[in-house]
Amino acid sequence: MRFILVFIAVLTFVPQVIFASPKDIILATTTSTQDSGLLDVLIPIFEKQSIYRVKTIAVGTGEALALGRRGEVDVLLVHSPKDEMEFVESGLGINRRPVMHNDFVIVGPKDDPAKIKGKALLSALKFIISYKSTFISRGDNSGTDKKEKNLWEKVGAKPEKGVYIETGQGMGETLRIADQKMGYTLTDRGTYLALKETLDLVIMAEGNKELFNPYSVIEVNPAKFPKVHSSGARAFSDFIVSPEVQEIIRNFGKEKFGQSLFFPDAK
Amino acid sequence: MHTSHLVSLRDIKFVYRSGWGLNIERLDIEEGQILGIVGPNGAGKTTLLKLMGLLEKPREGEIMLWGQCANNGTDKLRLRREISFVFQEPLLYNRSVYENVAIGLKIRGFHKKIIESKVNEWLDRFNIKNLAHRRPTELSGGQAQRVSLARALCLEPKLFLMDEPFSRLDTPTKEALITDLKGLICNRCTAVFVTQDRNEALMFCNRLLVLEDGKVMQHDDTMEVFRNPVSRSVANFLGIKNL
Amino acid sequence: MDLIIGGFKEALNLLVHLDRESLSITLRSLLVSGSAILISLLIGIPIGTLLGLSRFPGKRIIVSLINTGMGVPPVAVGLAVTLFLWRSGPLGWMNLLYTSTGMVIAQVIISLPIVTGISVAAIQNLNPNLCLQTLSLGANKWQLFIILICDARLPILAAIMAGFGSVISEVGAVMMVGGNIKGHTRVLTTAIVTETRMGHFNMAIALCIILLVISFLINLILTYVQQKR
Repeated sequence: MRFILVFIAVLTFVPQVIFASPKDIILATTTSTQDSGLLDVLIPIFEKQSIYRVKTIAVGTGEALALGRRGEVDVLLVHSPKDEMEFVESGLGINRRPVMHNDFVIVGPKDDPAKIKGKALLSALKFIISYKSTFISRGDNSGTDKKEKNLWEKVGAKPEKGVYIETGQGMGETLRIADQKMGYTLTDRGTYLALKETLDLVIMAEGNKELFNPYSVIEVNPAKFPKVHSSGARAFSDFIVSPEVQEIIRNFGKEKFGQSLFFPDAK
Repeated sequence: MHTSHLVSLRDIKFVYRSGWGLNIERLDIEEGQILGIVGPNGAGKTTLLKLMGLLEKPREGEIMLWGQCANNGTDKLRLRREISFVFQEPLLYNRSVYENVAIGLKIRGFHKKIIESKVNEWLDRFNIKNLAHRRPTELSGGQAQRVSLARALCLEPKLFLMDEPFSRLDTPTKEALITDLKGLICNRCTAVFVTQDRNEALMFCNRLLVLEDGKVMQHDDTMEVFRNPVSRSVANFLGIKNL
Repeated sequence: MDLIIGGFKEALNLLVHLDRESLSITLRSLLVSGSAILISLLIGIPIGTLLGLSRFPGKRIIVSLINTGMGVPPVAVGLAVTLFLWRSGPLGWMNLLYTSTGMVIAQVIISLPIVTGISVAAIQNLNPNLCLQTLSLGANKWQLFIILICDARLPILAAIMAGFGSVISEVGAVMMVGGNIKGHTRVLTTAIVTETRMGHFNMAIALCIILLVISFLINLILTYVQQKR
């Protein structure tokens, strides 16, 4: 009886250790990209076309770049231009290419306690501060989080500690918390659209060029990290900027949300 | 050390954690005897029994069982399988009475049919056949001890060791059990029996060993010990009024 | 309220139609946690029994460590295992990060202290003379183990159920070590997180129901064995 059990246990182990495929590539991306559902469409197409299997891990931009800096992942799809450039300049990443963009929006409760609807972006943020309205922040070093901190820098002030709530979580959870606490938050349009039906939040401010949210694909430098699957990373990078895929990106979301979630950027 | 005795102990020294110890120069037990080990509390009786049963190791000394040396790393298991031990409490397993009695035979790998016949035979001898499917929690003290004894004896040991097996039973139960047991042991095996009760010793044993402070005070036929206790303390223990 | 009802409806729907993805997620949960608890009991019960029966200086410290291990947060275990399995880590060459095997390893680490610690207590709870009695009946080392474990089966099965419960329901370790990758390492608990995050509440509740039902069925079987006369 015991031998059967041991046999089963071994069976669970052996396949992974022996067959851990050299064709697996690890893609680090952000939770907002993952949650939009775009990758669920693109990855199967890539896997069919190529010999590679993609393991997507969705973490905050901060963690994605940290993993990249250690060579733990093969390719990154992130949206934090300043950090991305630092990453490439330090020689840890190569071949950074623009993939797509969408935009951020400020959302808030329907009855708009700070009366910011229709106001210009920086003005709206100032009103949020002066009305002491609750503001929910990602607080997790993600691309969205960095953009938000960047905006407060431009305003020159920040909401008070008591009303400024940092969730440390992904966009979905953060929106839900904003919904429950009837506060304002900065979100990417994609996640907002995906969750709109379950939220009582509406868009308060949009369209400002400050809210531009570009995504890039970066390969981790194989010269610095020999364990990186550079051919797979290159294949994925080439794939996602190819015209066919860019077209898929352009059309993604139109059916479900009536508008595109992302706008292709590759040249 | 040559020997025709069933059990031989020589120069046994056993040291307890508290510091004091058992010190036995020489002890021989012949086949067929029913030896009683008596003595006050803390004399070392249980330890001596465990040493004989190979459940404890002496610090020094030699133990010979039916001509075989039992000291070194040699196969104690084989020797142990010819000894049975019964403790004060029945120590039954969480299974039915039948399975408890059968366990020693199962351990030795006997065939199912043989186990069945032996178990039933001994359940019968102890008059507990009707309890075969009961569980230990459903038994009285006397019944449980009968199960423990049946479990020990159905293994047909050469040496049968008992550590105050009746001490927790009331007098009528005790007496009935002793009578049954004596009949079953005679001519079947050699028994060594630790007891605090001098009446039990008288009823049951044909030889007595008086142990005090880890040393053998007297070792002789039962009647001889009662007639001629070797010291005042032995006499006191045996309840003999005049020396 | 309508969400909960919606959840039940969705769960039924998934079961009736044998939704492929939900099925594979459920199977993976069972495989990962099942393997983990199997390995834990094969290692933990013998070690626990050995510890329960032996006496040596420092025994109390070792048992304390094991008991402390029972309360280590799964996410901390997940982090520790990840550090080892990273490419740059000592065991990176095994390529076990973001795999089911890695998840099994983490879950073994989580459940092993529980199974071992409770086994120690279970064996120590037996009558101290029972070990001697068993030896006197002629048992060799293996037979001794099996007989004592069998006698302590009530608490030992409780240990297995506690261990299984701790891993089938944890999220932190499998999330970190497995990465919650669709089609590869997504299990019930991490799927519930993902579905909730994406706003698919009905689906999330349905998965919760599936998890609870499975947990109940397995515990039903184990309890039946435990309480067998």
